[in-house]
Amino acid sequence: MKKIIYFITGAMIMNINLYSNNLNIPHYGNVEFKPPVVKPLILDNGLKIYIKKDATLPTVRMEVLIKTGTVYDPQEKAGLGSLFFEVLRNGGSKNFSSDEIDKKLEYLGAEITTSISPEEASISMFSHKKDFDEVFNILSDLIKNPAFEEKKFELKKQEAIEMVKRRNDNPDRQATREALRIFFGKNHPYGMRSEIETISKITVDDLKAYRDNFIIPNNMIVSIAGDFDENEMNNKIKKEFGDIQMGDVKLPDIALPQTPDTRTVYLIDKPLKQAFVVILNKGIARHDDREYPLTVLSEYMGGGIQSRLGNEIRSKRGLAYSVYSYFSKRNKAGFIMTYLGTKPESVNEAIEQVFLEMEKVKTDKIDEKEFDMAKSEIINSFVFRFQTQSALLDEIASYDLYGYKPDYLSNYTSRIDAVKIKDMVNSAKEFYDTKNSQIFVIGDSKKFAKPLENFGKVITLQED
Amino acid sequence: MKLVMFFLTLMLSQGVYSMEKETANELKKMGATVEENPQYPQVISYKLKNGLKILMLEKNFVPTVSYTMMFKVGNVDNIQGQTGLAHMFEHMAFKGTANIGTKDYEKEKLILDRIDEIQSEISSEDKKELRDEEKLKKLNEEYKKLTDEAEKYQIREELWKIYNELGQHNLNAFTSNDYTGYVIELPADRMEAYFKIESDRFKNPAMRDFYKERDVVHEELRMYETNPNRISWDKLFSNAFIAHPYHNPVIGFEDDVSHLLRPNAFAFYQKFYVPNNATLAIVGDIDPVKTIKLAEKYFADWKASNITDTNYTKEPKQIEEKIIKVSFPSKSSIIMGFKNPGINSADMPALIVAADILANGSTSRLYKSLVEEKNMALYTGAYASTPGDRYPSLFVIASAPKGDTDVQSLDDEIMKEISEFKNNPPTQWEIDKVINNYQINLIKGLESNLEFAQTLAYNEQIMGNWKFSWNMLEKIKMVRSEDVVNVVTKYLTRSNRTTVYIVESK
Repeated sequence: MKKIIYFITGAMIMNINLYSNNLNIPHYGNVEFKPPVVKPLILDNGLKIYIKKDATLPTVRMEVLIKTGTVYDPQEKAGLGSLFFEVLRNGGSKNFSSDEIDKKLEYLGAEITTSISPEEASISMFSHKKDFDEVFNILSDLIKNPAFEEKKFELKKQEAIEMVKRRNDNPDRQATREALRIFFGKNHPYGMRSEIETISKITVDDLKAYRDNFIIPNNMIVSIAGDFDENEMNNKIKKEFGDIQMGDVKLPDIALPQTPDTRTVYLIDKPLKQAFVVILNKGIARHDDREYPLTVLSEYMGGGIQSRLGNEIRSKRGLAYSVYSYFSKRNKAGFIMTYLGTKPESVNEAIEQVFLEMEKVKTDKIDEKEFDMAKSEIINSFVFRFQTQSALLDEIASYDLYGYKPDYLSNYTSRIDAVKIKDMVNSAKEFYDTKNSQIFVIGDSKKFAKPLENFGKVITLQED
Repeated sequence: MKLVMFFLTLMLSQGVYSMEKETANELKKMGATVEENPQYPQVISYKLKNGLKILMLEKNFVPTVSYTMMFKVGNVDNIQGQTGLAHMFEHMAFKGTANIGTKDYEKEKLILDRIDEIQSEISSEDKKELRDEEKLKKLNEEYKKLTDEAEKYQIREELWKIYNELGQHNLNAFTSNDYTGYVIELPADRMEAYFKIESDRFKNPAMRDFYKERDVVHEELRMYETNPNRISWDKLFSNAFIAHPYHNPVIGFEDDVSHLLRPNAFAFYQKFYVPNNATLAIVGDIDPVKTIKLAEKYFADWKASNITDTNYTKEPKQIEEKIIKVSFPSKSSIIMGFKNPGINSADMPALIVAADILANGSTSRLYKSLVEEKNMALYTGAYASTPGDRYPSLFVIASAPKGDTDVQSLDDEIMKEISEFKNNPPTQWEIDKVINNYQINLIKGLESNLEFAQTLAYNEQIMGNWKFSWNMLEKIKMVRSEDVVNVVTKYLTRSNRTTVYIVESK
């Protein structure tokens, strides 16, 4: 197995160590790792295939990425996408009943799994190389001829309803979900959630229509790595997928979300031992060059125990075990989320600290070492996203699905390296708009040391 | 159906696993062992004179290396009144050393020791029935003053900062009942930095910020107390075990955590954090010869010592069923634990097979019956040995009711399905399925370097042999249908079980 292209130019970049030389830690430069640009094979029907042999283990991994996502669910049938992929996987196909599929896969220790997130979905398989044909045969029949067996449809629908009933069991997850829902709006696709009524309305015909709309070759990207002959594998995929008809994908239009403009505090009063705080600010959509300074800012501010928030809230004050801040991009808009869990008594103090740090980074009082460290961490740990051939191709396929240029990944670390302190400060000025932050708290308000009103208008919500 | 044979699947002799003869010879000269049986991955083993064991596997797709340092010390090694100490030390291992995190350790140390004296006084005052609040207030003020003074000499979270600058990935640690493991992944060229930092970390810990970190652990504890899943597991262990330390929560009882002192952590460290109690597993783009040289350079002077025996109370035999109902603001769920005979018992392979046949996967018996046919359960799962492997532990079944089903009826159905084993012994298909999955999981476990490093270190340090998983596979292959019926009849009985219901509070 050949290594993929990389260079370590420790000697060339005279990067002095920022921390502790009591130990005389050797000087290392930045890891200069560039994932290769891989050209996909494109079939006549528009299906893209990223393929690489990797004989490290006698196995094969394949992922079929689909451009869809939970944000494209019709509001009155929210939950459709999730249910579709559950029933696709579990509802059998023309040539195999669901029971046959389960038995076959479990006997072989093979896997076919489906998943969906806000803006993508995937159907993946894993098998021993000797079982590949058999498992791939099932996978392609599920993709081409799903049966959506009535019994499995009902089962998965009930499970989805049960999950709605259980959605508030874990308050930490509840806090992040509900905060985003308020931030983007309950009726906006980025904020909406599925309900018992919306799931109940979904029919098998809806699943069929969903398949006709999304499961078409020009809307899918295949990535496959494992112990096989590349030409042979290409032919297998062509044979199975080459005859699927291409079509017009109707991705519903998503309106720009109207995120709230004045700082407001939302509270769900719940007698819990710990309170959960989520602070949201506007972020950026995909394909926005402001992501590079914002990435450095997020790492500097909330990327771990050594970050500003980790330092001040966890390490120095012992106020939280879990505290972090990150940003997330979607196609139309994004958000910056700051999260922490603290005892009810210190909710106010912790929120104050977050805002204090957000203000501090807008001034010129930046700890230069910490700034350099944040950049080094992003650059030097970049390589870990590509630890196997399969991870590498999945990553490339995913950026392709979102329409990034083929050199996005190979230019990534140099774009980060180019970020200067003033860029980060400007980014903070632009994005840490604390006057308009939306604060969401789940906790036992009787125990709060100070009223939440200190931060703005408080709206108490009933959990549902 | 016939057993699918995978004998050759672990012949990992292509590409990354083939070692140059020359290298192999050099390694042997150094005293290392290179695994030559193609049934196993080509792991290189080496032992330092002080007892530290090094395990290595070369895998070089990208220039990264994954490390796991595993100590045989965990929750079971805490003494009465100091539950949570193993976990507390794990947190302390991130708080720097005499060289990392300080501007002047000599001066800082004097303050840290003084803080310990104050905290010890606070602790004993706090434990009194009638507390002198005035005294406590003064002590706390003194503590704050000293903390501010210590801060002048400190470089906050410097260990994290150094590793971040180097490009760490997955820097973390885990404390369980049986072990404490420290993990990290780094770009391959930074191995010497790893050895420098880790040897200092385990030879010269400073344990600064102990009492602030105690507050952090309290927050961790509070977080767990909002999680119904976590609560049900803790309740299971604390009720199933009455004398053995598996009874104690790994994070510790709240009162114990509140009174842990830094000198307790030093005593604990001195006893258990010795090279003869550790294994270091390194997987990735490595040069094994250089790696051994670095291990010798940085770890050879780490002093070994005899680990004196701890008197781990043997759990008395359970004679009656225990049912615990916990009221909590979440939907209901159920877990039940049956005492198992211990991982090295001859009955264990059959219990491992029984767990999968019973409840794991959509072709398992409980899933088919309760999730699909009767529509009563949301999920099912079973684990043959939890919360640990060093001592006899529990065979656990977990599930949750769906729709209108109540947790009691779900429980009855689970027990009914278990009793069905006698009339309906496992088919050869069911047993082969388990064996096939066990085999393929061994291969899958090699995909992630970090995961594999953890497996190697765990197997070697806790189970006594890095090949433990492969050896267990051989035992599982010998399991027959009647063995499964026998162990199910013997262990999965009402009088041998503890059951926890989470019931929704209104």
